[in-house]
Amino acid sequence: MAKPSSTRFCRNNICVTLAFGFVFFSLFAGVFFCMLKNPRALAQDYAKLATIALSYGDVVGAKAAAEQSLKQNPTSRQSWEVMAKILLESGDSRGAQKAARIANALGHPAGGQNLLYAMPAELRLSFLAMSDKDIR
Amino acid sequence: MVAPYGYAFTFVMGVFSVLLLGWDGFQSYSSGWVFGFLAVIWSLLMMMRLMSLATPAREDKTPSSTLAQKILNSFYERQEERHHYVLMKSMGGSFVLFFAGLLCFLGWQIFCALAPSQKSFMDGFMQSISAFQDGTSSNFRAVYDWGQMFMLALSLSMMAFVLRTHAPSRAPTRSMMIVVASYAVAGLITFLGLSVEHAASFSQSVSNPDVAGSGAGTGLWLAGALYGDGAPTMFELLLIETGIGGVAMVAFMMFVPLGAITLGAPSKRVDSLVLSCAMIIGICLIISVFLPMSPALGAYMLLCLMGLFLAWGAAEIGVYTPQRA
Repeated sequence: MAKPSSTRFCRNNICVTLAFGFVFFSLFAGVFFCMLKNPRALAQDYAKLATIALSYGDVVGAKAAAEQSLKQNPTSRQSWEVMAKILLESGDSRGAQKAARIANALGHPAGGQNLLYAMPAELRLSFLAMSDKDIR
Repeated sequence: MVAPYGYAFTFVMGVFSVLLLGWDGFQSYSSGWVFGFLAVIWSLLMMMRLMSLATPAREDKTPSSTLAQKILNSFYERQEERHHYVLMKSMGGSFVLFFAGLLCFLGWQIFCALAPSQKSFMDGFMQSISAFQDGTSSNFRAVYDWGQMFMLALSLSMMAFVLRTHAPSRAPTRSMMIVVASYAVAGLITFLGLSVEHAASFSQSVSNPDVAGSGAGTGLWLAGALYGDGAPTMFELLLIETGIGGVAMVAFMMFVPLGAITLGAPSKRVDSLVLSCAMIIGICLIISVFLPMSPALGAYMLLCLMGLFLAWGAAEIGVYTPQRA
């Protein structure tokens, strides 16, 4: 009786099929991920937009841009600083103080480290659980 | 037919991945694509490797009428047997445990991300869903951060598979293990030499225009004027992010290859040089888990993992010896 060909076994094997499936999934997931815009970069762009709008005296537009920035990345120190300035301009000194306090807390570690893992645990956990109400 | 350059090409791509991961840390916000790119690279490599192992060595089934044809057919048959052996061994054994551990860890990380601190899982989940539906909070940043980890996990599992399939080639494996072990020791000395506060902020100091490329770096280094602040270690990060469950899963995943290497040692399947290099790399990797985390250290850990995967394959798959009746 003829020995079954190993090649035929390889082709029909469920493990090989699954492995190919896994490879295609990873390929498409990787391509999809490459096309995504980093929310941190988006937050930075919105923060710049807010600063420009504020320099032209458009407080409402600046606030909308800053809110968008914080929605994209609630842990951005720059965005909170811009928000504090905008709130101060609009006369909300209490809100400005709150925003400045958060920006200050996010200043750890020195030099504006953008890596999230360098943030203290309690801060990170509280920001993950933070709702939109906290921003306003 | 397996391409003869497959081994070297895989290793070059591995080193490229290490450099890419290290480079990512020196960039600001624009390098998130690196993780997706790594997944694309390794999926293409794994696809090529799977195709080379699963494709028959001979397409035409020429009847073996002549002696020369019989010899050629026998050669092809043995090659196919070897490919089949390597393929099945690479996907089986302790790799299944490693892959299952990886999936469990990813699942556990999602659970931890959805249920931070004291909130219950369902509360966190429902809040995320309703916030998404209302459009009040995109939460996209957290998803993106988790996506980076997911891409890295995919790349790691595919890298483990590809390097395991290459490991039975004894001669290049020996030389590659020596190279990786040397870099692992040199890297460990470097990271231990950098003090706790300096290692964490090394990337910042390098990207600072006042320091980088101005020739003033050494002076600043000696004067201790680099940016300094304590950063948590990989162990602490895991503990913060995923609790003791996550730490246990990662420890399990790390000890699957280390255990396979150790258990494979008495069977003489793996030579002592590969074994000793693997032990050196394993020790370096374990120590680096307790060093302050930085992007450069992450890249170093990936290099160590490359060596570990190679030794894992060598210990578990060994060298194929055809079974003769």
